[in-house]
Amino acid sequence: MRAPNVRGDGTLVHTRVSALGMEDSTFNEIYNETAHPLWRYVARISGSATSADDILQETYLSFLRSPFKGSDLKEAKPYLYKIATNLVYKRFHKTRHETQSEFDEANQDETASAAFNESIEMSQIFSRLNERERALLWLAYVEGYEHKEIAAILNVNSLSVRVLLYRARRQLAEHLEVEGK
Amino acid sequence: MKETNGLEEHIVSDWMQRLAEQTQPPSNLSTPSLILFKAGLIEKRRRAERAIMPIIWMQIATLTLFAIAALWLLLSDRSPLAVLFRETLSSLMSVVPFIVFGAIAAAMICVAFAFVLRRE
Repeated sequence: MRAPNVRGDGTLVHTRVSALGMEDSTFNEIYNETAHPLWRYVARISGSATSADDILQETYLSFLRSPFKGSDLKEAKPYLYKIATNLVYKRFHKTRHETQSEFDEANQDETASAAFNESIEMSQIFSRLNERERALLWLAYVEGYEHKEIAAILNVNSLSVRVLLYRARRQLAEHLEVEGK
Repeated sequence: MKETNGLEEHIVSDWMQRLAEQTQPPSNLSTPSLILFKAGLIEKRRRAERAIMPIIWMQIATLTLFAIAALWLLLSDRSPLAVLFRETLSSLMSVVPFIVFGAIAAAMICVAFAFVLRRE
């Protein structure tokens, strides 16, 4: 499928449009900007590196099927996080007992350094939090989202984000204290 | 209290940054073209399914009409076969409530099973 597009000099160019109504170039741009941070987010909140790949694909497929057809990365990114969060929650509730510590096993072949050992410890500490606490902390401290944006992504009241974030932080701080970090 | 919170926030923030640095995606992460290809296939399949829906509805409607017409012909006919059919039908009328009750019970059991399997 081809759609007309106007260049800076006024000439018409034709860009490929996917079957779902979004230009391939726009999607490529969004994907290249968001895939890696989104994978890290999914892997950490699901606690599984292997299911992170599947969830990442599902997220982009849902995104392409969604009514969102804009090209603004600022709008697309939180939307992708919202889809990914819902998919993780859905999967987490289906396979509640299988999610812990798989992250470490999947990565064990790749590294064998002191940094990796630290990573295992960190993963174990992080996996003691529930999925919402992990998501809250990640979105706030790694992605740097505002409370309002976090509320929209996690589908919670924006006024309660502050309290939930405080509790999650407290939980993590307690675990760190116990581990002597 | 505020100072403690601030310190805690600083520690947690620092720790989260380190955790993020140590979370590296695999080198063989899916490419955007693969996602677009998959999305295209799914969309094609969906369109194909949508396209055959009218045909399926037409088939159902035709079969229903055919069944009604056959029944009407059989009931209005005076041949021995039609008489036998009518008599069988009238004798079955006494057990209709049991058949209906059995069908409803079977449907309810099926729904309950499906619900339990879905939850598991």
